[in-house]
Amino acid sequence: MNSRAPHSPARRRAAWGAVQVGRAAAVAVGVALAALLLVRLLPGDAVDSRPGGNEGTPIPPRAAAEARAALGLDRPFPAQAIAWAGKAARGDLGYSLADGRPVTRRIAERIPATLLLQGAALSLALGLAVPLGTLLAWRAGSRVDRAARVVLLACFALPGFWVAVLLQGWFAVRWGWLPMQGMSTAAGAGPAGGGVGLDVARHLLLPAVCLALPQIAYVARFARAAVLEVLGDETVRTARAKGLSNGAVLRRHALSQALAPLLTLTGMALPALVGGSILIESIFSWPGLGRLFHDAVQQRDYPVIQALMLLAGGATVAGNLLANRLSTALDPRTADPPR
Amino acid sequence: MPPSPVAGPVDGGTVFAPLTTDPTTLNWVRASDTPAAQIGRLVGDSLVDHGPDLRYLPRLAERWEISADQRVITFHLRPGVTWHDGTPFTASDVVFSYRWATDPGNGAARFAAYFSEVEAVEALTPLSVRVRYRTPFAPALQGWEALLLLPAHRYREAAPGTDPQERSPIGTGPFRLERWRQGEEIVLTANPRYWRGRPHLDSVVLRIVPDNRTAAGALAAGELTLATLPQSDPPPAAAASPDGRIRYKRFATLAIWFIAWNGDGSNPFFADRRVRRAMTLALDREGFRRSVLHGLGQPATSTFVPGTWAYDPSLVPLPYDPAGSARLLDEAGWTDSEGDGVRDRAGRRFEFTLTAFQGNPIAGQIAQVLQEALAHEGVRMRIETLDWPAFVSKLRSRRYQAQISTWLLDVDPDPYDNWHSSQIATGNNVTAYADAEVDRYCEAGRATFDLAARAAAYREVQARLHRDQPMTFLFHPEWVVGVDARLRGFRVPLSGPWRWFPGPLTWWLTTARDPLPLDAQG
Repeated sequence: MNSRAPHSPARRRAAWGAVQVGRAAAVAVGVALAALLLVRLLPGDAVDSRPGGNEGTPIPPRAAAEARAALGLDRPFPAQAIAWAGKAARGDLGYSLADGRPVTRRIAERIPATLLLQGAALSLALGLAVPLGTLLAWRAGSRVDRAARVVLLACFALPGFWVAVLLQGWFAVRWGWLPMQGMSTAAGAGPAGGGVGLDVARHLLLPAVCLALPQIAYVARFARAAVLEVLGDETVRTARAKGLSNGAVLRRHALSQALAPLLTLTGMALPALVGGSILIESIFSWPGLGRLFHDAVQQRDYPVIQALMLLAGGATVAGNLLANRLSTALDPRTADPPR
Repeated sequence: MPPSPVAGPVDGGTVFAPLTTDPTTLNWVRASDTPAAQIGRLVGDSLVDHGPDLRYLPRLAERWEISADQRVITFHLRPGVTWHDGTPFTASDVVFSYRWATDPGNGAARFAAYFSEVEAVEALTPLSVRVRYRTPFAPALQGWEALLLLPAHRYREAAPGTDPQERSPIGTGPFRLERWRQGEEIVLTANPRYWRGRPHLDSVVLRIVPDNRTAAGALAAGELTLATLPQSDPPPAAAASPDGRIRYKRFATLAIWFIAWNGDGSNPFFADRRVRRAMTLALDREGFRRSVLHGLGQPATSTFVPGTWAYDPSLVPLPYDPAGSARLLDEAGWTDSEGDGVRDRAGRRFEFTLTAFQGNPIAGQIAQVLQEALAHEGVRMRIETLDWPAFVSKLRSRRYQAQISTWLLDVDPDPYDNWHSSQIATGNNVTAYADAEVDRYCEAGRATFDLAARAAAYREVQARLHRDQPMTFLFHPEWVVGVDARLRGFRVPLSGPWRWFPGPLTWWLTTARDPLPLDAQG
């Protein structure tokens, strides 16, 4: 690198990369700060969310004031925000207002479940949707293509909770093939059979399918369009003119070019990996970040909400950046020209 | 033990029950959430407990004496009781628990009211505790029922600033905490040395299931032993599922649903009793109970619960009477003088906002029915739905006009916190209700341990609440719990399936499915 001339393309690319990363970090911090403010605009705080003597009764005003002081909620918002940002910059995300444990600990114990579920859903979506979309592009306009369009639209449009309840009703209640909820069989509920891995996989299947269905529909339509576009392209026409077979045209030319937008799409899906799904995680009792976020909002657990927003904002920015880099690498024409 | 026509209870087996969310802490003195209370009742013990009729019963206190001036209670502790780690349970644990609960630094705010009248708590002998009150204080036993005891020795051994009971509590109760997997499950196992004898069940596994519809499905799929069915669904028509695997039991609780009318004068409507009565008369509560609630729930006349010793069964709920409602509004000066279909008085239109908690779909339905009923009366009502912290915040600051909500009442019916005028500013008198006679009867009911005298005072309170309608008392809700047919000895008193004693201690599992409905069991 160092031997290159100061204005070599590689040097400029590296500089541009640094600019992009810096921009991304700024966006992530901005997102977290905006979230911080938004959450505070919601009426009620962590003390309000606690029941008093009788369940459903608020705790008495004097006790509430004492609790607020103990949690630091009585300080002005800017002071709280600055204190939080200063600590967050040093990697200290503070303690949960709901259960008093370190925020990093609460998030860390939920990350594996969400990564597993979202990762499985994404793999399922890409694994099925790309071949499907390619097939439909190949058969564009056929009866299969038209039928698939209807089915995919339905998959995309059906409400997630409805599909989840339907699948639970069939697979767990009526046929008893798969578990209804949870990430593993309850302690003492008899031998799971096949070990921990298989047990978790069985619990994973229904929620992963529920999450993947709309993604499959979306990605398949996307892949179909991308391949179709490439198929009408000059390179493909040239390849055909050379006498290459249909299969070879598809493999060597069409797919590799259609891949770029798909990678972009995958990069954009990255935030979902750590964002979790409130709905699916609740319906399937999946102990992930989506539920943590839901509970944290219900409890006005500011430090947890802020940390999760920072994580989600960071993942969104990182995903976009990654998608950007990947598509540039695959197709230099799409590069953002450095000025 | 309940006699069974087939065979007596056998030991063994696991009950799987749902918990909507993780407890915030397992220090059951600090905790104020339902999951922690449910676990606390299984792992911990209190001095006093209550029976299905809500009268106080001995638990860790074998017996107690109340002095002639009613200001001193002496508890005699059960000998031979040990904590789960084998340390003997003594009077010093009781004194420690009291001090911990009332130390403001520990954040156990709910105990401030329970022990507000306590002057001193001291250990007389290792097995007796004397509690001195400033004045005779009849709800005292409620505090000793609510205070699940803490092991003093663990706090002595713990590092300063740490709470050994926070994540891995020990108690003297029938079950020990075995494992807590955040977001997944909490495993409790039988305490073989429990002073009342070990529970029949080997373990209770509490699964974290946030969605009650999922819980009902998991019961049907055989993953749970019991689950309360969603209230918005019609209750099952039969006493058991068609395949006989699940039996259904209807149960009431110590809860009330109400619409509170803010009578503090911040709005021109609800400080007037005639207007509040008109609101109640306009709403067809019985029709709603029959149609939307499918007949679940009992009509309410005040915040006293049917079936408890303080309840006055002679009060008749106000009827559905739209014409009477209109008359009362006319009388109060609210007439449609502008002829625009909305009543007004002194230039102010009768328009107000009802605040509802978004997590309660039934409350939303009641609100809509009321909205329509009031529209016919020439009253315009807006509905505002908020999530829990926002809802509570609005309630606490008293910035509401009307709100629909629910209370889960205490075992002791003491109405002081909710209705005494001294509680308007700092307590739970959320409607700013002030009536000199009610104040007097609230005080009288606290000042004697004689249940008959207390009941007499509380009848007077109920009659006035019924007359004045500071709230529209809607229903005492009922639920349906589905139970695996193999679970026997399952009963639900007014305080709910988990809270009373001995509760889950009498539960046992059989391999045969019981053909009888739950109610027919011994």
